[in-house]
Amino acid sequence: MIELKNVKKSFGEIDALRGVTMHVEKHELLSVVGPSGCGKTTMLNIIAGLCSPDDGEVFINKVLVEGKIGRRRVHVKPSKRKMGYVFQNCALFPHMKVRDNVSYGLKAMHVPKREIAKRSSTIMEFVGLQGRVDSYPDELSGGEKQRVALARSLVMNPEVLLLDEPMVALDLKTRESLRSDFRKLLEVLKVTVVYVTHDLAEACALSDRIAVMGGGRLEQIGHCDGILEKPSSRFVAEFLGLNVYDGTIIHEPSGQNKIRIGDIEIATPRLWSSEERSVTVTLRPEDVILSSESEINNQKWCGCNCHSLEGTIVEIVKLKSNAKILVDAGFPIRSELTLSSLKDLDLDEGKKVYVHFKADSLNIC
Amino acid sequence: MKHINTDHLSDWALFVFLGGTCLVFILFITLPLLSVFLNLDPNKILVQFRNPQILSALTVGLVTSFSATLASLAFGLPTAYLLATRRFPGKPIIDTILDIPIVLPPAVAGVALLLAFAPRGILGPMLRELGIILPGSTLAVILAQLFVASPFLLRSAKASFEDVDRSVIESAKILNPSRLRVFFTVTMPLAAHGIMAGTIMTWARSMGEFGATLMFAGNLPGVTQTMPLAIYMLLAEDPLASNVLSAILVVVSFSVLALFRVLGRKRYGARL
Repeated sequence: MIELKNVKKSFGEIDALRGVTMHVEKHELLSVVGPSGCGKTTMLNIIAGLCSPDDGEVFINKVLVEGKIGRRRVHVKPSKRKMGYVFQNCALFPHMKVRDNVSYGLKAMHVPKREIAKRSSTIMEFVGLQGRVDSYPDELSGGEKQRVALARSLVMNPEVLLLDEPMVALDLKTRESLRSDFRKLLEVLKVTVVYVTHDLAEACALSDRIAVMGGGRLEQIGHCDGILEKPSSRFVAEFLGLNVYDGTIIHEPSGQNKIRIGDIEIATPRLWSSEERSVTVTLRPEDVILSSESEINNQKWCGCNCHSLEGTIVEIVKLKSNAKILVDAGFPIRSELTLSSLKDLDLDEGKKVYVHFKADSLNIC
Repeated sequence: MKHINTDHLSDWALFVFLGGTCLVFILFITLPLLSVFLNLDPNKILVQFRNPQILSALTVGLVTSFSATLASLAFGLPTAYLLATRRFPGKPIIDTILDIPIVLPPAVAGVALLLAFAPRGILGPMLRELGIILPGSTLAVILAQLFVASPFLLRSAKASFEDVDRSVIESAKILNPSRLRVFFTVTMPLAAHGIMAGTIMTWARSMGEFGATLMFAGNLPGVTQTMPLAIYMLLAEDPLASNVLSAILVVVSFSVLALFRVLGRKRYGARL
């Protein structure tokens, strides 16, 4: 279990962490996502003890490892925190073979030689490094290096494992294979894991919960679906790639609520406010569908309060399995379609198209 | 009219210009070096190795240069580590001051050492009270060599410590509770090539030191006369002995540079 209480850290005039309070349950896998420079790695380094916070407290398994007791400053050494740390660049010892990298920590702790050999070979087999034990790090592939880094941490039987974007430098295929292996390994090992990444899909695939950080603050923490459905701030919504608008809630005398975005008013059945007020409106691109007709013929959409707006396709970006389409419908709306749907609908930049979404897909934050 | 390929011509002209310049330069460097060996008669070389002045110059040169190199390691390594890993006020000034001996004319270095450590220098009276009179002593030769050559080790070691990946050290700190063992098992091995190269350069510079040694330590055979000083003194009275000593220094210099290049190329893993 990890607990951070109002942790602050500055580097010169840059505030890397501005009072982060967070709780990671025992054996939970929490992913921390956020743009570059948002303080993710600084937070990880503070948990690991590689740097001390300017203020605040850090507890690991209810033991204070950073903070103050009275006037005395507490800083538990990194090696005493029973944790493993897998760095973004693996940080393997380049002058040591794989077996020496993996057994380094055990030797430093004066574990008997026979036990070192047993534990090292077990863990190397566990992460699939058999046959590479006598190789040097620069003879390994990116995926193999990450496995060595993971084995080097896991061999110490850590209670907490910190992973700092371990797959960022890997190709897509290796990344997918390693991601799947990581998940299986971590399920078996039962350790508390904090996984830093800027890849939301990876975070959702691996984690129990995700924490979104921005500008040195913890913006939101929760289950992936919950955050995607109801982002708590404009920052989170923009980071998640949602459609984000400045809107106004209008409460009409008839009792009907509407949201005005630009010049367009959209009726909403949900009573969000009894008075007119400015809000941030979000809409998931997956909840927006496109068609060449003004009416949508989909049974799932029958009877629901949906909206159709006419617009022009501004941009189509084709990805591996889907396409991101930007439509100007008086205000910009992004939609996501599968590549086959894109082909079936015969969409192209500059073409007229109808944009449909359900009223209850709109969310305010 | 026959077409002339001007691109082809200009390529040739450039090649001839570059090749010609390079050849002249190579000849300028190699001719004096070769001439040191061309005049040597192998039979007479062996006789010269029994020449007491040559032997004493060799002994003084080796003893002082090794001592200066060891002193450079003792003081230079901690200083290089401090400068490479810590930030503190005045660091750029200290960095610059420690580099000065590299660009300082050796004669100026000799004068500076005299003004600091000679009996009438700043620390002279204090040293005299302790019974130490530096000028004219072997210790003065070591100090002159240390002053002139140690910045080579300092530069190289500092760069090597700076080059060690910070995250590698941090991962070692997480696994190893002893800072000292992290230093000796991870930091030092990773910086070793640069430190070794700097050590060799420092030793070579110490062996070849002339100006500062002459000014500060003097030229006493068997006490302060190193090989370059002996070469200078023997040039008039015994040119062959001077030639033999020069040849030894050329061989040493070549070996040192070859070793320096080999060490500079070495990396970890299978290529080691």
